[in-house]
Amino acid sequence: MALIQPGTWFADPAHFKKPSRRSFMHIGFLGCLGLTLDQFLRMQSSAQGKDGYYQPVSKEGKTKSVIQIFMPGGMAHQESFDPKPNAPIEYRGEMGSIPTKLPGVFINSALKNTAQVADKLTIVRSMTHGEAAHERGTHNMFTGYRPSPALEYPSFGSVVSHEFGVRNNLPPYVCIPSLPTNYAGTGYLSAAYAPFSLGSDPANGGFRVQDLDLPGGVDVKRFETRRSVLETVNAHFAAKEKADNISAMDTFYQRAYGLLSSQKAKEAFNINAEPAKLRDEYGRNTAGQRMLLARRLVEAGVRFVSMTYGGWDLHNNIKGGTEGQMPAFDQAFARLISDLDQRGLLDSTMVMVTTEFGRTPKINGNAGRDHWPKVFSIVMAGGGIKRGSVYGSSDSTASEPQDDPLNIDDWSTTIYTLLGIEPKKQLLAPGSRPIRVVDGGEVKKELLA
Amino acid sequence: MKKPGRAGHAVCPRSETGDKRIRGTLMKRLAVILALLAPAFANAASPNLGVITPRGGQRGTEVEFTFNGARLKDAQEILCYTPGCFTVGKIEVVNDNVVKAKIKIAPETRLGQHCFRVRTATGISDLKTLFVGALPEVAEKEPNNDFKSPQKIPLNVTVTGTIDNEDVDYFSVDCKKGQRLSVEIEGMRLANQTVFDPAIAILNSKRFEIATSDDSAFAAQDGVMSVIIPEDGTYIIMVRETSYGGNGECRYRLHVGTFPRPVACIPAGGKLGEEVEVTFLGDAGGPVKQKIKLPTTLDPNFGIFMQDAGGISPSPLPFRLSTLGNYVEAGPSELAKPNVFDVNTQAINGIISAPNEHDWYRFKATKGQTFDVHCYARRIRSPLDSVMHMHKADGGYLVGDDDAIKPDSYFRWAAPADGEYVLHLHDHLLKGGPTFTYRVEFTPVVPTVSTFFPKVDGNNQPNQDRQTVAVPRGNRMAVLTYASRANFGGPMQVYANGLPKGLTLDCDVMADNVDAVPVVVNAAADAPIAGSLVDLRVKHTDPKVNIDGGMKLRADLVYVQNVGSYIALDTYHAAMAVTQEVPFKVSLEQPKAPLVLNGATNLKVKVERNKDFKQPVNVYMLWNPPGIGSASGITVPGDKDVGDYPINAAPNAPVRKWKICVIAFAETGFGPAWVSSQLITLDVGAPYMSMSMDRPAVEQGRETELLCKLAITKPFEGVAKVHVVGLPHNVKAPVMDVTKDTKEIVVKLTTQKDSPPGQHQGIFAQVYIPEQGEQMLHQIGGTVLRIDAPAAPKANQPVKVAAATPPPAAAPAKTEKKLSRLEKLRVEQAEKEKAAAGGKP
Repeated sequence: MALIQPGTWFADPAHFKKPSRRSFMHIGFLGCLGLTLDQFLRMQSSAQGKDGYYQPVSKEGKTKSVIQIFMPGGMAHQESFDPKPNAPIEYRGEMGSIPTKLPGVFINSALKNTAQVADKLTIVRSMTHGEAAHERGTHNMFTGYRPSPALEYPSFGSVVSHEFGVRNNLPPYVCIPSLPTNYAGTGYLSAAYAPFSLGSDPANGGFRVQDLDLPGGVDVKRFETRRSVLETVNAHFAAKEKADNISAMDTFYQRAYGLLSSQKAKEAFNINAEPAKLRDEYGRNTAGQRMLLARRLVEAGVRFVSMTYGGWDLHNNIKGGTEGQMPAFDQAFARLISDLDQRGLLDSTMVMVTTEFGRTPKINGNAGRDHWPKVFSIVMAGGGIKRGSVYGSSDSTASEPQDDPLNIDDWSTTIYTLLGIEPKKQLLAPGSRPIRVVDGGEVKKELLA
Repeated sequence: MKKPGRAGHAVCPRSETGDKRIRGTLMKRLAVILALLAPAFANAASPNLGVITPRGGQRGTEVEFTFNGARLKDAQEILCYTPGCFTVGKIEVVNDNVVKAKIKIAPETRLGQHCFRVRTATGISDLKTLFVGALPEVAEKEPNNDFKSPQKIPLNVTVTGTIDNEDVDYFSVDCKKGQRLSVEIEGMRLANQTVFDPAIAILNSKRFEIATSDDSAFAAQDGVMSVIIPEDGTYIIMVRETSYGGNGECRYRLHVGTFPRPVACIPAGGKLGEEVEVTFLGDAGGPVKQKIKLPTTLDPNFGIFMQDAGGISPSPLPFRLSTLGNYVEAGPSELAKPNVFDVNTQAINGIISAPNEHDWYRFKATKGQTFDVHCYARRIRSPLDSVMHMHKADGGYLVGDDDAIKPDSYFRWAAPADGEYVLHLHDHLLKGGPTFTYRVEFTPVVPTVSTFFPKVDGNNQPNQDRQTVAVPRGNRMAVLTYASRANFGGPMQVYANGLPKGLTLDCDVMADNVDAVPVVVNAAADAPIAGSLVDLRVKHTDPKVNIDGGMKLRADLVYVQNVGSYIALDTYHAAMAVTQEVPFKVSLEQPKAPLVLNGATNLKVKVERNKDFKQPVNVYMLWNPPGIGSASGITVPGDKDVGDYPINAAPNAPVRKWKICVIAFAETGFGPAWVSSQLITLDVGAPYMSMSMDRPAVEQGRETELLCKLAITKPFEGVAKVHVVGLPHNVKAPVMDVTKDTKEIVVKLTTQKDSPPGQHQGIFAQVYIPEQGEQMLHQIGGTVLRIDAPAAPKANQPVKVAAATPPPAAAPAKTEKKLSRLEKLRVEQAEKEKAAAGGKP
């Protein structure tokens, strides 16, 4: 028998359920609606439910904000959060490991600051999926879905933007410095839920977020005049055409006006307002300043911040590549965690360090490692995630999950649940096609505080 | 630590007919590739040769060539692969990146491609090419981009030019009616530092095309044209990049003249030493027969030229040299009326001369005769995409093939019985034409071998790093030497003819189950600084078995990542040189104790430095024998002279001795200088003991015992130390002593109240066994430790304090017999049941 592909019609067990006695009730009672009673009752509880789709209203959960730190290229689990000091040299590599604040837990020797905040983190050592190509692995980790040729899925950030919208006049979903991948976009959702990209790296001296201020020579009055003219033109189009991009553009304008008119909102992007000492502590580099700005944005009300750091596709010389990049990450990440904690934000802000896959158990002929999605490590912290824990394990050569493999469905179900978004909620793809936020999966309670 | 790598060249895979789908993106890809490779240049091994300009010259003349690259300032010699044809004058060093030399090209030099390297006092560059032509050369003069004002050139010249972005070059020639005008461009074949796919055309003065050629089966991405001029007048020759790309590196050599330009010949091969009558096909003047005297020795790159009153073709037609005579297809054939040839003495030469044509050949074979049957079609630059089938003459299909040697056909076939058989051949798409030639050779299966140096950077195919051997005086350098065995197995010995004075080889026999062996090349302290192209060979160690082969080293000159090689060439010599002294040496200390299976050790690397030399030395294993793993490299810092190189053996590694060595480089001011250690013996031995571990279980805060049973397979002197490793947090085990007489040990495992509960895998023993003053590490045993949280007492049961916290180790101390896991479980279960019953019966 052919294996059922996740995400297909066949993968939904509801399509093969034996009709229960309750299900039959709709024949006589609610047949005109085409709903069973339990569906009907569920719909009753759903403010947005229509046409029988399961669309409960999302209510903010423990996780109020998310900082997603993506390590593009595929960060080796062996050279980060899952070293194997007892494995043969060609497996363990040439980097050492150090103890952390978690008893008996060792991580890469370049993560000395992170080791000191390990009691605030959950290290997941058993993340697993089957996609060894960069774009496919990245898709998994940004959308919670396997890539499909039939449908583009929305990113976590866009779903959050769709479900919760603007807070404090700030864009709900921000990318630092820019859209890291197409899979960080809106997928089948309206372009209105796309991330706001800074377009400039906060690590640069002249960092300034594009389009936050009125152009030179345009005062508020002139701006209002322009706005009313624009609205007149837009009203014409809106009346003539029904297209996503028109309404999306309108949403963008509304948000942009909100942002432009709120000094407080604009100030969220002003990294120069952070104390110089703190900026130094994060590190005056891409890792440090991006993470610092992420914290600043979250503090101001941004719901989902996505940032990338480094290039981890280390097919050659993995020791050198890791030694060159990891210390800046380590400094920034540890400071981010402690900063959030000191400000009382860690319990409401989920920080995730993810990557598209891990790397091969054995060091290759070029002193690097190649792609390996069978098992790899991610780190989660805050927002309702357990403090000071290691979830799952890989085997003695970091080749396969040994305990508690964590798949993409379970992982994203856990994240959405903490955010207060029902993972089984059906969002509508074009053609009124209902697509679940997550296809299957269960909350991994061991990850939760 | 990063091994120095050297970026490759402009790269683009060879598509036989010039795949238009990818062509448009070649330039973009190249830019990406060069960008990706650029950082590698910074660490390139010295010296580096990028391109030789001009890209060729006329034979019989002296040309000043410029050798562009890096770290060339101590250039001493131009190594030529064609002996006797090039006389190199004084080498003038312009700067570290440029050297110049006047080279006299002998009048009898073969036309076409020739290979060169630059030898400096400190190394040998990678291999690059030059092209030799028969015609005087004319430089392109811009502006020549307007059809109406082309650059006027005489007939029978070679134009050397460059195509920039969107550049179109026009040249005009005056021709007479009935005259042959042939044009051939060398563009892709020049292996420029970029991907250059040229397109050419001949137009009349009214701008009508007389002929065009973008790609050709004969010259792949390069174009060839040959026309008979229809009327007196001026004709325009156009040159451009096929998709109007181009840059300063898109150099070309455009041959324009009255020379013959056939694109095929039949037969396309002949018997060594014989004179063969060859019919040249595809020239505008029609088929021409000429007699060619063949050489007496095999040359896989042999080619023939057509020559007549109009001149000589600028590039050769590939021609097979063989021990077989020729059978040339007599005419159309069919299954019922096949051509007949002698399979033992003749090779088939034929043409699929029209679409839908099938050729049939009948021959006799005797039972047991086994043949390698090769159809040479694209390999002789024919447009034919062959498909080949074998039938019994009286019916019955036997074997067939389409694309085994892409896209040529090949199969190995054994005659099932004495009798007659029929070979059937056609084009894959049933195409055909007057130049669709082919040659089929039936050869007996013979053992062959060749040797080569591997690519050291598997992620960078066009690199030629360390595919030469440069040995500093009084020092050593090692190179991993491979043997490609075909149709036999057995141990091989590497040897060399023509080593530069003062160089000697040191290598073990290449075992029959491996295809590589480290070869250390030693340079005497007084060896003259010189280099040569060495005939490096491998031969079977059994003198009765006459199997011997030379080098076949492939250079990918135009390569596109993920697509393949467009221009690659094979050379048959190893470039070796003695170079000037370097201020350090490395050596390996010979271990006394064996490296046991599943064991590990550190090789001691010693660095001997000159007094003032403080650079770090980066050390790598040249080769890991089967089942051996090692660190990918170590660095011995400038203030240290010893380093530990971790190495281990897999549980299933072959038990035997190998010769191994390390190579090392350090920055010496001339780029990285490489040396090697001497060869040492790596003795991979069977373990001295094995161990089985019980599966212990314990409650948090208690102690338990780990029963380890030992089986000594080789007695040893002294006391070995047993460390139990892989234990979870806050579980301790003492180091235990064992001797050759120990049968079992009991390791006390002490847990704490916060020792993590659960199943803990990956626990094993590291045993250090003394042997000749060294410690042999054995990694044996293996078990799972279960740690349980103390069972919570039932709500209605009084807590038995004494049972919950017994004095540690009190119970095991009373037990004389060591309980197995099963027995312990039974005892535990009985205790639990007793506790659950609350003492009631």
